[in-house]
Amino acid sequence: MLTGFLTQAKAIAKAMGAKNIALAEYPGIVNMDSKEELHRKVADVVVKNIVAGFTNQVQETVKSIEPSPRDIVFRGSLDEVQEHFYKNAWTDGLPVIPPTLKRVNDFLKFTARDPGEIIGTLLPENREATVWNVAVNGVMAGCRPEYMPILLAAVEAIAAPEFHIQDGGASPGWEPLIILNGPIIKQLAFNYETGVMRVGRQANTSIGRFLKLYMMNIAGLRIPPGLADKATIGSGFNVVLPENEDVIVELGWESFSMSRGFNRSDNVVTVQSVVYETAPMATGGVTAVEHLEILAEVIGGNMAPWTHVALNWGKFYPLVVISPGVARFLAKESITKNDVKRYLYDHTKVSVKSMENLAHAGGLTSFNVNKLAAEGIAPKAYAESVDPDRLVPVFLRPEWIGVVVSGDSGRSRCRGYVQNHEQGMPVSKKVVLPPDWEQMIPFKPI
Amino acid sequence: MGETDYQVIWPLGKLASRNVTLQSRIPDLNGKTICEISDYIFRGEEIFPAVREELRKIYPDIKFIEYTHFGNIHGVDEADVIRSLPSRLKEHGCDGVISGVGG
Repeated sequence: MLTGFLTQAKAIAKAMGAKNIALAEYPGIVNMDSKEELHRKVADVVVKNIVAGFTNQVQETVKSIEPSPRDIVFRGSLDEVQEHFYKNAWTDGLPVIPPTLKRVNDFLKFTARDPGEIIGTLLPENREATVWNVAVNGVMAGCRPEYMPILLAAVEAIAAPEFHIQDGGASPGWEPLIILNGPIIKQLAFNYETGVMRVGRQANTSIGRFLKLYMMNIAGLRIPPGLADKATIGSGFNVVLPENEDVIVELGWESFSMSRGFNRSDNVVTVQSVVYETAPMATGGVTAVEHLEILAEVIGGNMAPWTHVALNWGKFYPLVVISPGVARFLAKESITKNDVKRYLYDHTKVSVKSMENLAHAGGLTSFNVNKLAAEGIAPKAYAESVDPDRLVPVFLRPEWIGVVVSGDSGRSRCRGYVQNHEQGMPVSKKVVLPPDWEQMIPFKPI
Repeated sequence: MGETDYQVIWPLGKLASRNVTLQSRIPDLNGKTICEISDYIFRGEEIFPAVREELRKIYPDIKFIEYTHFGNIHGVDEADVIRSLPSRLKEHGCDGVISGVGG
């Protein structure tokens, strides 16, 4: 266990009920050590720790007593509540709306599900995600009660095994992104035009904040003094990204959720990881291919430094957000979303040598493209020769590239969002509305 | 007029884990079988052989089942690999496990 990860290991061991499991420290950052230094550290430190771990008797752990879900854990003024929650690491550093019983019950009116229903358990802290604590954290994040169906769908997504919530504190520092489709976008006044992906609209912002807060409180993914978030350099939470469905229908394109198997009329939440975003490139030209060339060069090119990571795990689901102006221009030449994906796949390349250098520097010291192809993890196209300077696709499969139409209708910019291999795989869940939904929504959309 | 007094609910969830009873320690590793489990990162391919070499100096009669026998616990098939571990460790007669490299 590298020094930098000892506290995380202890936190996870405690959460798994094995608080006193033996950990053998490797001091320092192994990637920076020479072969001689590595061997010296193994001989002088690691092996001593291993022997101690095998031979020293350990104490049994006693599970600590915690509140029950409906317990009142504190009484006080607004300021006192903030202090108490901050001291207990129950916030994201911003003020929270005090989760009183009345406020939580107001949220529960927007679901027919039993408040005690267990949606899943979230590693690494291994706590139960329930309908009840979704409502509690929704209150805290400043959501409106009518957002509850979306909150539930988002938590179902991150609780799905294929999402890999347990890797939410990984070194690259990825953040979840909610992509939203369906009539609910307009019903709840989400922003999907100018300034999309910015804070400012309550629906986009508070729901984005909720998901991150939920991952902190239930999955335990907290920065120091918390122990499980190991992002080297992190980033802030992502607001919700709704698709512009008017433009999608106008162009006869399939929506993002339709590409994931849903009907156009379904309300769908998709959650996936974003590890970094590309330049917000303006595209131009009088032909569609001129726009696509820029997309490939800049957005595809910006994603190339992550291909080695994707290839190592055989998964890569990047997202490209196209503004309506660009989408309309492409559609004039009968270009579809699938055509965009295919163009990006065919025209964006990276050298094997670059990938292997980046992989080894980042700790993937066994990474070898030809070996991955031989094991069936990398597609055969990656191992057509042994020339390290050969160019191979940045994207593993064209159908794995997501395309969402959103943003300022009057501009021609696009932006890419790089997803982190099997960590934060895209998971889509239908939003289930309560029976009297239309009557319950308190106001009409802007 | 005083400020409102808020009575607030616990925001966390119940812990799903139960306490794990750790096995008794091994006072002498001579004659014991130690299995290696790897996540194939952070120079495990150098660290594991170095660990074997150094442990053999202390315990000449120690036996190792190398990590290549068990698959990658942080790779494409990690869920299947981890699920198979209890039976495979038993198959190989493991008295103890070194799992690495954590990071």
